[in-house]
Amino acid sequence: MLSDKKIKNRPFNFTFPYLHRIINKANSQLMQSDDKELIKRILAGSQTAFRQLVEKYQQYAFSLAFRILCHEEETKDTVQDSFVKIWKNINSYNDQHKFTTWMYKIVTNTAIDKLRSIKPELRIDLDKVSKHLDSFNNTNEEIQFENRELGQIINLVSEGLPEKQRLVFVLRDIQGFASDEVREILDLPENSIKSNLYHARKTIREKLTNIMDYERRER
Amino acid sequence: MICDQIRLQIDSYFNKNLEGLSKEVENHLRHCQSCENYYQASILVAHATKILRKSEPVLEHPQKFTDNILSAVAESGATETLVISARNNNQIIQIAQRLLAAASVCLMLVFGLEQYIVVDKMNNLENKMGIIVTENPQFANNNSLLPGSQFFYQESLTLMTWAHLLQQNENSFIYRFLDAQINSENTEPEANQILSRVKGLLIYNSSAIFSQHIQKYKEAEDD
Repeated sequence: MLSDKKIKNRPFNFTFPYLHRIINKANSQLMQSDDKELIKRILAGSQTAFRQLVEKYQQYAFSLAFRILCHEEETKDTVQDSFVKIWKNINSYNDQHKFTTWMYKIVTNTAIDKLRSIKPELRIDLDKVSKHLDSFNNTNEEIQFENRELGQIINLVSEGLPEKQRLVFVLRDIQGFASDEVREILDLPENSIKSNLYHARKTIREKLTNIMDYERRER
Repeated sequence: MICDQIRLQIDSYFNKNLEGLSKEVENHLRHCQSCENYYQASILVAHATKILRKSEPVLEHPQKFTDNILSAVAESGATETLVISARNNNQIIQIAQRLLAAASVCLMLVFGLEQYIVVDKMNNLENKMGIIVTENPQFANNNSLLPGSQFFYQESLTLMTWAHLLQQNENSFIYRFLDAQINSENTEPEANQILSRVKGLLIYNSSAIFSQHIQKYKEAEDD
């Protein structure tokens, strides 16, 4: 049974639950105005401006593609292809929308194509995964995985999910995008996003519970 | 049924970052092992998600990666496409600028010519009025039958306004003004009123039409 102490010891700090959103929004507005300038210069044919754009966003693009693909080399190819597409199609970018959303859409679509073309990595180091699952119970949140481990964990968590559920889960829960942005990136209606996210979380919850039960029994 | 509702509330707690579980849920969790397991599993998923979100994949050698991307862009031939596209955009702007310049020159010519024609017409009108007054000395006299003529002669602006009225065939209006001028004692306010209305109208027209009307008026008076 759940003790009072456990109930009081809530998993999150709710002191300023929306502070990070306010800071992110301010940062995002600042970045948007910079992006417009950069894109203007790129449209005038400046390769230096494009280099600046790549330097600015390659890490973001890499993170997103990696979380979808869970494979470093495939991710690098995907990001590279995405930036080639961005360069080729920069004329069609509508500056009424956020550049990052447009970029994430290209990266996501390129990653989806790649995901469909590659075989999932079957060799998962279960010993390591077991160790990482323990870390989920640990309240210490400063854990930094190596790319390979991280890929394995995301794969383990999201493995078996239908494509849409996996994408919505990665974009919404792992990547931390707002619901509106996910809707724009995936071209899905709000209801579909909610429903896919619900089912994805449910499946993951059941999967993790089963694994943890198995671990307990083994010990 | 109660468990389903409790689980929905637990989902809301995690999905919407609510400030805490309700008393109802807390009490239920103390007595229901199944829902407590559900709650613990939800905590696990929330932790896992949070850790995965914080654990950013690391892009090693970012500088080299940027170079690779730019090489890929160059190899794809897209560089030329965009440069050509940019050049085309510049060309379009240049063509637009030249067209604009040409249009400006055309407008200057048209309006310049128009201005010249207007000035020329005004001169002609003044000359003709001069001739009329010379040939008909009674028009130059303030006490003459047609005092308005002197007024016309002195103010070219009003003259041109009249010419416009003539072109618009506002004959009754014109004759009313002339009549008002003739019977100036009683109708001066009316004349001024008409004159102020006339001044509000556009100016340009041919002097010939005006002369014809003056001539017609003269003939009518002679008769």
